[in-house]
Order: sequence, then C-alpha cells, then structure tokens
Amino acid sequence: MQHIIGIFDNDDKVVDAIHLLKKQNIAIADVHAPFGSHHILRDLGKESRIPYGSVLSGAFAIIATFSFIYWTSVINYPLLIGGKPTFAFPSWVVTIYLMTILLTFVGTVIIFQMRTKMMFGNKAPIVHDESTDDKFIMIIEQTKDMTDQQVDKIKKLLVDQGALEVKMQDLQIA
Amino acid sequence: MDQKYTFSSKVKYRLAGLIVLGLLATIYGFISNPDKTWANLLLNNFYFLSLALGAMFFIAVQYVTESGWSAMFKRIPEAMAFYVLVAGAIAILLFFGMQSLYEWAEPGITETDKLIAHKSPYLNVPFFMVRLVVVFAVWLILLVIMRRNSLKEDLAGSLALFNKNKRLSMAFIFLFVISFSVATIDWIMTIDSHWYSTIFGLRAIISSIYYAVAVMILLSFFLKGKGLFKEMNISHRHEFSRYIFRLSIVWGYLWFVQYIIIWYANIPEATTYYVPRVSEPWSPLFYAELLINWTIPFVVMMSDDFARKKIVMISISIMLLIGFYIMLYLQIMPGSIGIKSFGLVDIGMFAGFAGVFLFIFFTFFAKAPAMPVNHPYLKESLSREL
Repeated sequence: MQHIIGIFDNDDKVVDAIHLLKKQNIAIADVHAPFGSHHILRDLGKESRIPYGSVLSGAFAIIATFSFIYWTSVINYPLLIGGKPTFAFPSWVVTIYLMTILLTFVGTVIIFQMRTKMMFGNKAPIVHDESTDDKFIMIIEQTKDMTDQQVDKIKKLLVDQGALEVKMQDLQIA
Repeated sequence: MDQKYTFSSKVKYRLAGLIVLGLLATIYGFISNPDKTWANLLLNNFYFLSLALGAMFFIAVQYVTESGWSAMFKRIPEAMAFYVLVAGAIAILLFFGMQSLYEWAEPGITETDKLIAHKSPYLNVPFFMVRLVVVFAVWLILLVIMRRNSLKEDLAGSLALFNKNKRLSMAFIFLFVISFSVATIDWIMTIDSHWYSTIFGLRAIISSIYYAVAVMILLSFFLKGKGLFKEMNISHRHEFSRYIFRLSIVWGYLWFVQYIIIWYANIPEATTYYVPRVSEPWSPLFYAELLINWTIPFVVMMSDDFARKKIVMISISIMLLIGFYIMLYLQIMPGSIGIKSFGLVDIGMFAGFAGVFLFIFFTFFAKAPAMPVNHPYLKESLSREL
C-alpha cells in the first residue's frame, strides 16, 4: 500500500505537524523516532500501555512466589527452623520482593516483545534507515478515497512544517 | 512574578487562636498529667522540627542535583525551615522534663542498672545538652546563611550565589545526616534506653523529607488558591507525587529492615522494643502505621494519572501527616509513659504546635517574594512540561 513518508530532524517539528494534521482530520499511521518521546506518543494518541503489563506481571509474581513458598515450607515439607513457625511470613517478604523485581522485569520484556512482534528472528520493520540514527519518520497511509490533490496537500503541509524530505513508499507494515 | 504573600490579620488571628488553644492544653496537661505532657511536648516538637529540617533537606537536594522543576516553590521549604528557631527553644526547655522522659536521666540509676552505667559516658545529662546545642547551632547557622544568599540572589541575580548555596547544600546534607541521627538517637531512641537500632537515624532522616514534601504539597495548593503560583501545572504535581511515591517505598523498606532483623534474630534485648508494640493495646497502631505510611500511598500513587489529581494528592498528604503522628506516638509513648491514651489535651497541643509552625511559615513566607525572582532555574521551572 502506498504511504506518504515525511522525514524530520527535530521532535518539536514532528509534534507541530501532528497537531496540524489532526486539525485537518488526517490519520497518521505511525511515527518512528530514534528515541522515545512522551510528547509524540501522547499527541499521536498512542501512549504506551506497557505499565499495565508491568503491574500485571508484578501481581502475578507476588501471588506465584507466595504460593510456591507456602507450598514448599508449610504444606509439602514443613521444617522447624530456629524455632520459627512454619508460616514465617516476614522472612518470606524478602524473597517475594526480589522475585517481584525479577519476574516484573522478565514479564514486561515478554509482553513488550509479543506486542511489538519483535521476537527472535523477526526482521525489524525499518521504513527509513536514518530512523535508527537521528531522524524522525512520519508515516501517513494513502487511503483509497484519497485523491492525488489531497496527497499533494499533505506533502506540502509536511514540507511547510520543516520536513527534510517527503516521498511516497510502498509499505506492508505500519 | 515578584508577588508577595500578604499575611492577613484574619489568618493571624486564627493561628493565634490555635496557639492559645495549645497553650491552654499544655497548662492543663501539666496540672493533670505532667509525665504525659512532657512526652507530648517532645513528640510535637520533634514532629514539626522534622518537617522543618526535611524542608531544608529538600532544598539541599534540589541544589545538589540542580533540579529545575522545584525552583519556583523554593520559598515554601525555606520558610518552613524557620521552625528550627522555636524547636531549639522548646528542646532546651525539655531539660526540665528529662527525668520523666528518660530512664537514664534519673539520678542514681547508674548504680542499679549495669547497662545504663555502661552507656553513661555518652548518655549523661551535661553531654546530652551539649549535643543538643551543637546540632541546633549547625542547623541554624546553615539555614541563616542559605536564606541570606537566597534573598541576596533576588536583588543581585548572580550565579555565584547559586553556586555558593550549592556548596552549602553539600555541607548541609553531610552534616544533617550526622547531626539528625545524633539528635534522633538522643531524643527518641534513648527513651527505651536498653534498646538500640542502627537504622533508627536513617528512618528519621527519610521520614523528615517524606512528610515535609507532604506539607509542601498542602501549602502549595493553599497558596495557589490565594492567587500565587499560577504557573503550577500538572508537571509540577507529577514531580510532587513522584516524591511521595518513591519516598513511601524507601520508608516501607526501612521500616521492614528494622523489623525483620529483630524478628529474625530474636535476641531478647532487641525484641523488648517490638514485643509491647505488637501486643495489646498498641498493636492496632503498629499495623496502622505501616498501612498509612506505606501501603496506601504506594498503591494509590502507583498510577500516574491518579496520583496527579489534586484531590488525591491532598488527601494522601493529610493522611501521611496523621501517619507521621502515629509513627512518633509509637516510638515515644510506650517507652515513656506506657499507657495508651489520646484525648483532647493531645489534640489541643498538636493544634498549638501546628499554629506556631504555620505562624512562622507565613511570617517568613510573606517577607520575601513568593518565587525566587533571579533563581537561575526559575524559567525552567515556570515552563515545566513533561
């Protein structure tokens, strides 16, 4: 499918362009940036939901670790250690705390990989080589009911906003 | 931008009313139950001294890390810190109540109590008073110099004053950690003179900045309602709530570290502190302390969108101030009077101290422009956006 690609060298310009395009009801498919920017994500309406994934994996970690220690030291193999009761919760807190850090991290990475489809062996969907360097790439899909006139208008708008280069590209992703 | 707060007579009368109420409660307390009143004086004085020093610690941290966002609020902690003046006077007054507060200060105890006799080269009344004077001198000198530099900066606007304050802040953080540990150990920990905890001072330091930020939140919202700090936006609220969230984690961590070591080792001389506190009648307070100071702020402030709401921040801050009272109540009361009682006298005394604290805050806040006019980071602070 044909896409309009605008290449910027400054994130403030990208944010301004997003505002202008939004005002004219033109949908932006995506923006590829060399670094994460809350501004771009927020104005694009694509704010990350990964924190919810982290909270979920954290909650899972707490429950899983607690159940595991409970099963091993109370149900399956109750041992008296230092005269403490077998259900010695304060001493478990340390283990649960550390396991929560570990499993939250691992879980967040797995959720992130699944969501962005960046599993091992997958090829990264790089639209423009310089988006891995220092350029911002804005991608706008050319829908079927978009006339050539409109496309030219968008192109002009991007150039006016300070795009270094505007071009058409056939893309499978975005 | 160089707006000043006017300390109106209406507010003055209300605060004076609180102070009078506090005085009446104190006098009534001394007549009816002097032991309890000495403990209450210590508790309330330490409570507001912590807030004052925590505010100063906050400024020092902002200087050392060269934080930009907080520059416009700098005058709030600066004015809060001046409670140290009153705290010093009341702390010296506590000399007369030492025998009812501290077991080791009773005359002749060194002959019957071997442990206290062993500690007596450090724990004796003259040396105690020397330490008290020294720590207050350190805080007052640094506070006065930093405030003077800050006021000079308003007129001159040179980076030299900023750098001078930055170096003073480094000195303050270093001296504060030592002096406040000494002070806390002297005034609070020696109430249980047979017991010790090596993390006690650190807990007090973290608590001081934790609750000082809560007070700063309340005061900045109050002053915004009065027409100051118009530029305060969601980014500043975000930074404030981040302080609460992160310090709640540190607070919970330190609470747990102190508890688990004692619980796990199970050494009689260490557990004497926790045994009365986890049994009746103190145990509800013991769990409430952890719940209010760690669990609720931690869970509520976890979501950014929620934590930045004004109503959430205000209610969490007020709750934390109650939590701080419970924390000190549990540290002081079981050892000094041993009876759980809380009544109108306690509320009246707290109100009186709060009145003094706020009176001093507004007096010093009204003396200078509400925002540090020539602070190098003021512009960054005003146009702060995440």
